[in-house]
Amino acid sequence: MPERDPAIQPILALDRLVHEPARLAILTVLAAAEEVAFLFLQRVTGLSKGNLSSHTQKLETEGYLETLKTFQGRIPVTSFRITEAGQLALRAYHQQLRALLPKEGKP
Amino acid sequence: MASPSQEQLARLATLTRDYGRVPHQSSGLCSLWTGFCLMVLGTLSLQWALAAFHAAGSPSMGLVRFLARTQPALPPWLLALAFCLPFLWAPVMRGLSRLAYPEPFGPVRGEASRWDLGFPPRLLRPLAQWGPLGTFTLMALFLEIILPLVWWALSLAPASPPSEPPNRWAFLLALLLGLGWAWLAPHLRRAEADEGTALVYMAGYMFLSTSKTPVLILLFLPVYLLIATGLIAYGIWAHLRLKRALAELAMIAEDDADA
Repeated sequence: MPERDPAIQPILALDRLVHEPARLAILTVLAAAEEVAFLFLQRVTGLSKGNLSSHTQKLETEGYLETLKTFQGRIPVTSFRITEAGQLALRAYHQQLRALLPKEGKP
Repeated sequence: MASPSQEQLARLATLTRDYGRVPHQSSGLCSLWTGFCLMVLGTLSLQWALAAFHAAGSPSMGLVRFLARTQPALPPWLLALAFCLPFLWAPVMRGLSRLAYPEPFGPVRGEASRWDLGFPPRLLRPLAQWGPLGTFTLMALFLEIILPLVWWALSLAPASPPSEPPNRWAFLLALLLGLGWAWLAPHLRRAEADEGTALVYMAGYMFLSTSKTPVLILLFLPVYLLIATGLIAYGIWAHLRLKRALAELAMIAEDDADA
């Protein structure tokens, strides 16, 4: 097995669950509020219902978010809330990414 | 979905924060409406007090001292308006909520407010529901003790209770108002009920002041006019802020659709 370049290791160590663009956008929106409706998340990310459900399910399985089902009058409303683990994962991802990016003025 | 840039992510976060800070169910219009109702009640009370003062030939004593000494009765039409206003306010509030609800985007609850009180939020609803009735009952029971202390503290009049017998009807109507509100409050959303409580308190104080002396309402009047001004200013600010956030969100949705 060929030996990996040690410089590539931090890139491979990125949390792939968070790194995926749709999930990154979802977590970013959720981190900016306490509770976000499915509809808002769908409109703001531009994802289809099915896509959004699939991504949120993955994030929920990993414990990064929780789903809340409530009623507004007679209308059922699905909302999401980012968990402590989700906040930590997002923060860690940003730190990793900042460490990988070239510093100002350096190639 | 294309990988979002740092700027796009920051924009999304700011927008969500802005949208979440405004209670979407009112979008500012309901605060504006509550502030307007309070302002109407406050202005009419002040106008009545000034009219009574001028009718007496503007005596050399100040307005508050004049009302404390002469104890003119609040006009029945003003009391009837105070009693009916919370119940007229509620359907308009519900109508505004429906009108202003940003359907296409759904609700977002913002980050925990820095104004959070030191007790669990679940207590807010029962406080808004039963608070006025409890306060009016306590005031009705202990007004005889409280008022002389207020007079004494303000040096408005001798430290003795007013000689006029208490108006039992005014007590009864204040309690009825509190009871009516306790029935109505659970039918409203929490933010709506919180704002309506201010209106019920003001109307109740007007009845209690009729029972004893109208100076009581004048003592609360500056506070209510301040609350009314605050609600109106907040209503305008929140509405403009939400409109801006909604316009930006609509643009994002359009961009997504184009992509």
